[in-house]
Amino acid sequence: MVPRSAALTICAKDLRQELRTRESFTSAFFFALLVQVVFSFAFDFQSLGLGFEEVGAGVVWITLTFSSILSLQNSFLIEREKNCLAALALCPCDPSAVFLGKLLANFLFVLAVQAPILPISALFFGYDLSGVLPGLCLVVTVNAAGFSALGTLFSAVSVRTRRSELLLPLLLLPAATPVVIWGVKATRLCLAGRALGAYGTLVALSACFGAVFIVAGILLFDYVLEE
Amino acid sequence: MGAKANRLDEALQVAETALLPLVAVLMTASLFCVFRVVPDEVTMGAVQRIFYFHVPSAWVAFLGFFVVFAASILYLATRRLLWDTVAHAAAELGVLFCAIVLVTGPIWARPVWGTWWTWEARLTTTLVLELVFVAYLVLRTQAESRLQAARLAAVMGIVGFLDVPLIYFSVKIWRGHHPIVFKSSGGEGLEPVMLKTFMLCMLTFTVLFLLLLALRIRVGLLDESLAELREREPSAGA
Amino acid sequence: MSRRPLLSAQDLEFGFGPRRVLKRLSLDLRQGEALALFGPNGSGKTTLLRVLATLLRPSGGEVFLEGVPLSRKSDRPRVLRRIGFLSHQTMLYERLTGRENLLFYARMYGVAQPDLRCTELFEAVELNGREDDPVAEYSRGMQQRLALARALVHDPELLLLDEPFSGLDPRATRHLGTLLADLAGRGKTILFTSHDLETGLGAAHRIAILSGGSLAYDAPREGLSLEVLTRTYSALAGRVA
Repeated sequence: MVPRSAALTICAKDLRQELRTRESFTSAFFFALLVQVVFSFAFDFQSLGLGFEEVGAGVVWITLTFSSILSLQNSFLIEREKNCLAALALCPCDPSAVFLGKLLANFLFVLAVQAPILPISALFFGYDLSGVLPGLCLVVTVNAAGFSALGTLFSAVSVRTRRSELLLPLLLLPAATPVVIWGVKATRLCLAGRALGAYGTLVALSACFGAVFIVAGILLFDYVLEE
Repeated sequence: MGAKANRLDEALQVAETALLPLVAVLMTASLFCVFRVVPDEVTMGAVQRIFYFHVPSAWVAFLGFFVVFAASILYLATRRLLWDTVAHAAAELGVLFCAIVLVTGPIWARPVWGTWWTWEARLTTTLVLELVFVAYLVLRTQAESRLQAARLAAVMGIVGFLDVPLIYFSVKIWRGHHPIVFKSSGGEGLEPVMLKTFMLCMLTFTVLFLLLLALRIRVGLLDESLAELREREPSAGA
Repeated sequence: MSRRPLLSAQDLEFGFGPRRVLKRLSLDLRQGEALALFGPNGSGKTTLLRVLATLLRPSGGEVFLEGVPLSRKSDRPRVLRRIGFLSHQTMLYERLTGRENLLFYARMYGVAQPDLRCTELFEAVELNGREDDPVAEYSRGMQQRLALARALVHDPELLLLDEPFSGLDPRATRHLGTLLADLAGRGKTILFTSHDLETGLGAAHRIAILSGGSLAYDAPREGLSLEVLTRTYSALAGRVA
């Protein structure tokens, strides 16, 4: 079977499941909201006189990082139930198709959560996103892709181990450092109203990061899917 | 133990017997040079001598992680558990020497900059790498079986190492292109006796790494033999 | 029937760490044969099935599907298309409906006209009428039937079924027995494991007992009474590896 069709079939299956139950989205969305609220209490930006331009980048990326972990974890937990992972290993498609299908679904879930969260974040700070929206969307999309690639791979690695919920963030967060750093920096420049040229290199670097780990995932997923 | 395993064990013992005196000699020479031969550095004073242990430790940590990478690939290609044992040993040493870097760094930083920690590019990179490879070791302990641990750790070993240059690069960008402190201070790179001492320490630490690696691999192989024996005769031994 | 066996396992070795489960196990299955494999808990029946299904790599030996070694990665897709596997766990997505599950697998296997195939299968396993209910609402017997449909969706030649009768009530057991007999009649090759000697005896052409990591007993079903089988089994199952 052509890997692309198998990947799309898997992605469609995940989307269908999610639409039916909305469990990934709901937990990730509310967790993201909670992170925002806790941050506001912890740092009291208003009294410090800090606006979205200064701290927004950090808030966006901390929110994305931690809330995405929930949906990334769920991605393979639903396969572990009833041993559907073995069923996927038995399908005659390339194992990389499973990786790509899962990656695509995870990427869409991350974006689905960020889509409402970003305006809400801006709202909490009284910031108007309209000017920077295209740039911000680009930065978030590219970095979310890299983060999802790594996250999908690590989620599959950790799902069969004990304490898999602990292992995923432990593995993912340090390894995702480049995406967080480049994402934050690019977001800060974008929110400060700078033109694309100012942070274009950073976006390109994030894209490279994504490409490296998508390729790594494609090559290594066979070994991850094995029992 | 099988015949093959015996030969390997013997080879490792030979390596250890050869390396141990070499390490002893080199280490003595290094310590002598660092504390007796090399003059005090111009701006930083005596504490700068830590540099002779700090940088070689970082080099050894990197070497360790490279061995993890290579051994991981070899394991996935050949499925010989020996490579997994090598990767495990190298990862432990990498984590150990990374920890040494993270301890000697602050010891150096405190008198020089008045602060224990600084988010300087190389130190931060080392911290992130330490976290990546500690997670690697935790993964091994949480796997359900030896084979699963070997396979998953091999994947993580490869991915982790691929991440190293990306992490380094990103942290460097984060911190701006600040020159690394010991380069900017005086003629360190130029003073011949300092350079020679530095190279001696690099050599010493590399040989130390090889010795520790051989020892740790042998311990790992013995562990496996013990497990096999226990399986065959559950009543024997504690 | 061709001379060369459809499935040939040679000197299989498998261990979980130092504990060896399969020791020099060899097994040949001819096209159209139905083999019932018995063995006590922990004898390695599930492990063997998983090795034969390519889910586990043996540490020694090789399995051939009509001459093609299972270990060869390039041939993996072709091999997988010819094998249907039923495990202890249903391998079904509980939040999706029966039809959505079966359609998913039909598409993953590249089945032509997946909708039609699914309808056929739902009828064959007597689940028509319930296909649009979420699998979470199915009874154990229904889930087992759907799992079997999943194993059959791509019309494989070789069926590896791990304790297909477990957890089924007498009616469901009879139904499954009929289904297997029907499949065997149509030339499918079946290897199933079971704890139920009587049911296994009824559904198979050939009986084998796994003990001590390899086949301790292997005989055709004809002329074998339940009594003899029970005695043989008790004798062998007590053997320590």
